[in-house]
Amino acid sequence: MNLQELLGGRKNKLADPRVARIRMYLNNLAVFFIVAMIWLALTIATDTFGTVNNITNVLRQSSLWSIIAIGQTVVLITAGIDLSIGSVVGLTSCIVALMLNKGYPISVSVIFTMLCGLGVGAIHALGITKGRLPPFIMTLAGLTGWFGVALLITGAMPIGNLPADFKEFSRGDFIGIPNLFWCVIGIMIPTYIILNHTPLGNHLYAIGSNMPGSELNAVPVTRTIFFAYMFSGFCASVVGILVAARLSLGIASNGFTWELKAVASSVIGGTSLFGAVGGVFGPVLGATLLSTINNGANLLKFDPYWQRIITGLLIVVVVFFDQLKNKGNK
Amino acid sequence: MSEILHVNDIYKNFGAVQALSGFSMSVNEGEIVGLMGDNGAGKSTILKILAGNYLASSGTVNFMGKDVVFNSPNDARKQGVEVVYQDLALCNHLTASKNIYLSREKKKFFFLMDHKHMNDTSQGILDQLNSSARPNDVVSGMSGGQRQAVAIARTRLSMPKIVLMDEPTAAVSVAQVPVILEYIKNLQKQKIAVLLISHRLPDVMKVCDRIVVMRLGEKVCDKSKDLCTPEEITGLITGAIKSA
Repeated sequence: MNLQELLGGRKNKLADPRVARIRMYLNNLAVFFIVAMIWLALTIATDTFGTVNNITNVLRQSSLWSIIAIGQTVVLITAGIDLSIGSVVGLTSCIVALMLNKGYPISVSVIFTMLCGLGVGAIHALGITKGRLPPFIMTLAGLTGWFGVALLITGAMPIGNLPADFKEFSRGDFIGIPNLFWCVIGIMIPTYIILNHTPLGNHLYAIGSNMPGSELNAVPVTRTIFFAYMFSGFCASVVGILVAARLSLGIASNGFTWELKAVASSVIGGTSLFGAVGGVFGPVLGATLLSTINNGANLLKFDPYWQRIITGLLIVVVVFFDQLKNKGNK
Repeated sequence: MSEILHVNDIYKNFGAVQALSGFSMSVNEGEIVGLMGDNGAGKSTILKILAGNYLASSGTVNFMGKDVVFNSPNDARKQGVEVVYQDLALCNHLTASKNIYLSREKKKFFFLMDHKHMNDTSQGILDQLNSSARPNDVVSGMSGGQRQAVAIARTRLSMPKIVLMDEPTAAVSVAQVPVILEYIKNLQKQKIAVLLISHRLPDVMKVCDRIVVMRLGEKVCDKSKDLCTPEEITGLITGAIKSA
């Protein structure tokens, strides 16, 4: 036996990065095909699905879920979870609406609201890294806590009377593509670069793969986890602002249960709940699938409760296969 | 050979548990020192203090003639201390090159990873180690030997003064053990010191110049390999012999 055989061992197909990449592409392709098939079926089955108005509406809805799903994906990659997203969407929609209502300029209101999103994420990260609280517990506390803050600052009342320029943005489009979808692209591109081409991205995956090992290898674990939760908070605040603009309303219940939409979109898009697996295209496809199911169910006059049941079943099926894949990797 | 590392009167406790009690030892340039002891003797604790993972409760570490405190693994690395951990501390989902460069990624344009440089350098190091692992291979699919090669390859990114190895032969097949011992000998030829923690007495007797034995957080033996017998070392580890 020569040295190469000794230290090299057998060549293993699983080690080939192309296998992992092809798996990811196949997953995204499968979701893409499911979305395409449902779109086709709904176009045939209903008169209204294929109309420009309705497709734009589906894209707008999926845009909002895509943005929070991308934020959730970054957290899931670190083997964490952010369950506070829905409440942060509601809180930030209230903050921006209150500021605009009090006459602050749009730019100041938007920037301050985004800073609030970052701050919320930083508080979660502080509890997780310094307080050693499990992400599930910390962000579950955030889910109820931030909802309470939103109710408190608004007196549980909707905040309307927003400036026309602010409302216009979420309804407008640029070269035929809704502005909301441009926002998705604006989040997707830097996230893709961060995840795939920066040391920070490498550290996010490393922490999700082996946190104690990452610590031993001098990975700045605390700083990286702060980034993940602050990024998720930022994405939630962007959606909070966009929802307020779209509905012309800031209200605590904006984004209610959207944390589950974010998790579902991300997981359907190939992100692993066990960490270290995920990208930016999958969550967008997952969000598009969920908003299509939502829209289709409405058009077909399905009982709205079925939408929730289908989403729940989808999560169970996808996580079941993720678990099988994870066992196979061990 | 000049002394490069001297730890003096190190104490370390974890709550009520006293892991190290007045432990002292030294390592010279290009010397291979075997650190032996039973489970719970404090071997991994002293390694983690030298690697910057733990802070000593009291005592001093003198490295390259200066008193130092390694507050983090990065501190230790910057001074020339590289480590191969017992569980290898690899990230299964990352490629070999991303594992090798973990936390010291090569950058271009200020913030982007230079994948080409990282892959080329990793390939060169893996070739030096005669490993068939490729830089783009994902660690989860690698054999034990390939994984060991990736963990060892990390120590070759810099020109370390000392390499700390925690049970490097524990997780590999019998056939792979001589290759790792040969690698340790090669480090010595480059005047790099090695602190080898091992349970395997034959390995230690084969490559080490000096053997230090620990028991219950204290040093019970520190002498040249040529002056030790396997029976004596075994007796010191088990406590049958109190000190030598």
